[in-house]
Amino acid sequence: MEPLNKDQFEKYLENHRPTEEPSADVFARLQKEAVWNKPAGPGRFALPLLLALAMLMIVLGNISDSRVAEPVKGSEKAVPVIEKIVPETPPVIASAGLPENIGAAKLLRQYDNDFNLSFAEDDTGVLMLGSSRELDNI
Amino acid sequence: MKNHNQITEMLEIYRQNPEKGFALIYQAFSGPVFRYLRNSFTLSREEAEDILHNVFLPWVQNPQKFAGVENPAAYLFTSARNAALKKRAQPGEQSMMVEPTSDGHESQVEDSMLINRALSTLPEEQKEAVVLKVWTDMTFEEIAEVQQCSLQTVASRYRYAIARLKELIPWNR
Repeated sequence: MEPLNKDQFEKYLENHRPTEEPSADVFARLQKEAVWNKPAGPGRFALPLLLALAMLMIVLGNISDSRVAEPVKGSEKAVPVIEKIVPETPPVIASAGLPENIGAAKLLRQYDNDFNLSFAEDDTGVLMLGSSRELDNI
Repeated sequence: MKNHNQITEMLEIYRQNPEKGFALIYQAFSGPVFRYLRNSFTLSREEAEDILHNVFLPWVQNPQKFAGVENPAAYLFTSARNAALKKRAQPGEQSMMVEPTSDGHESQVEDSMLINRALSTLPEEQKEAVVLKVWTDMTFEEIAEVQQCSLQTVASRYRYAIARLKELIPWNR
């Protein structure tokens, strides 16, 4: 695509190549505005500093929020353990009151009622109203 | 202009030492870009210098960004072209012919004046192709990148321009 040989006219044009240069003032202006010639004053870092502060505030805000929601392990308040108190039912013996209302004596009385038996005539009836030790001795 | 190896070396220096590297890049490209602006867009010295300043300004303000540019020539010429076209589009802006001072004799200066006059009659893209090819030593490929068109288009523009200039300039008298 490039012309292999420049013809005479192209050479003529080349010989009349302009030699004009920009003034040195352009380079001087550029040097003044160059980042390597700017002093590192506080204004240069103002924006990054503000951004960093804003980020820090957001992070600190998030940390304090998360502490309220999820306590750090070991830092939570001690909660007293409420044990369920099961009401004690009074023992049957204690609530029975009279000896005739408990155990074998009660059963004997039921037999007495159901089969028309009377232990009153028997001496054992008296014994049945006694303690279990007395029953063992029969 | 510098060859590929020299440009690569300049960019490497610019990456490591922006101040030193920029001085080399400016030295290599400021003249060609300035002459391109003056002769392709027929801008005054002040206008061309203003554009030149704006084209190079980001290179001194943000070296980290420009350290990655692979083809500084194409980048600088394209930036200059865009700025010149933008300036041209502003109301009240008119192109002026670059007139070298003439002493009234047939001399190098007079020939330059004839060339400039002939160039000013060409369509802008053709004039641009001649200036970049003949006076800046750019390849058709590089010019195609600057003008954002195909290689064939650039070659056609150049050949038409040379043929027309031959008619206009009494170069072989």
